[in-house]
Amino acid sequence: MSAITSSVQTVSSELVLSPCKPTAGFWGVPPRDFSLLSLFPDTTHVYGWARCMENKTPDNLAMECHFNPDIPTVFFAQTFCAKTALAKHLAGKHPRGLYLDCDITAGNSAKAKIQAFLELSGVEC
Amino acid sequence: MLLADFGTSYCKLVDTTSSTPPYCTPTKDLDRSNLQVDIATGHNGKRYANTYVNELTALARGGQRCIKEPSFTLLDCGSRDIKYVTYRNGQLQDMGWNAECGASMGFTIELLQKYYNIDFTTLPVPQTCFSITCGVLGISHIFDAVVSGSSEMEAVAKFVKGIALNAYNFANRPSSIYLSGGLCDNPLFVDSFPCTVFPLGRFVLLEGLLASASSP
Repeated sequence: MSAITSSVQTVSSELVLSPCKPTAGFWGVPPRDFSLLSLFPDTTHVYGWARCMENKTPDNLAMECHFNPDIPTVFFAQTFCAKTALAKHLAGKHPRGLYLDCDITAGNSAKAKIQAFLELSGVEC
Repeated sequence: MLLADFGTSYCKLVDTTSSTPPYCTPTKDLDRSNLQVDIATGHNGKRYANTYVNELTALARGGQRCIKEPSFTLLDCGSRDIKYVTYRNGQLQDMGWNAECGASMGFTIELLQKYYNIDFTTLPVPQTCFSITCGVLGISHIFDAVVSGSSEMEAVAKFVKGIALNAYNFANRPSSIYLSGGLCDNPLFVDSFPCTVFPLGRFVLLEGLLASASSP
């Protein structure tokens, strides 16, 4: 995610990152509290508006709605952000999706939800 | 192996090497001087355990041990928080943990029970209820109702029903619900749900720890 957010400072739309087979998904905007992301395995793929931002197309709804139905995915938005509606909608469509919102920083309950969701979905972190 | 669910108000423990059944003790009475357990969950669990299991994980695993159905919603109403897991066809479908807003419900009910000396087995479920968002803020409704002429018992009953409805909504209004936690012993709370309720008692999270202990 840090690589994605820092990419907005470059003109290029491509990040040079080695590919990996995804085991988990994170959909959404870059969270205000990046410690939330430390709960995910390194093989997590990022989706949602974060990728639109990386692609320099923040209004690309088709790209924003894209997710991988084969991997357990957390659909995240900051509380009171308009993206919560889309996150909840897509989490309902995903076969193994978890909707999550948190206000400003990630509290214990938000972190516990991520941990339990990944663990119970068989994801090794 | 000693397993413990360290709740805010009550601790639930079981010794797997003993024939003694799981037991419950008030957290404030717990001797913590040399307390160390093998596996724990709950708010205070990390301080006293060699291995800590997330409460939602313990609830989900406990539900899978106790409930012989592939699809269910299990709601745990604790002293401080409420949490639920939903399984569909054996797959984890949804979960939630309300630890701040909407909290302190079980603790508030117990406070009211002791203060007003209430026997919840004698209180009928009221027709209406208060709109409760959390235990602490909900108390104001009771005081306002009493000032307006309601009996204390009637006001508390509306409070308890409001809490039950809030918890039910939080769990996404299932057609039936499995309930765990100390409020299983409160018939007014259980009967206030607008759906079929299957009370499982206080020890579901311990069952989850047993599942964790037996998993590789």
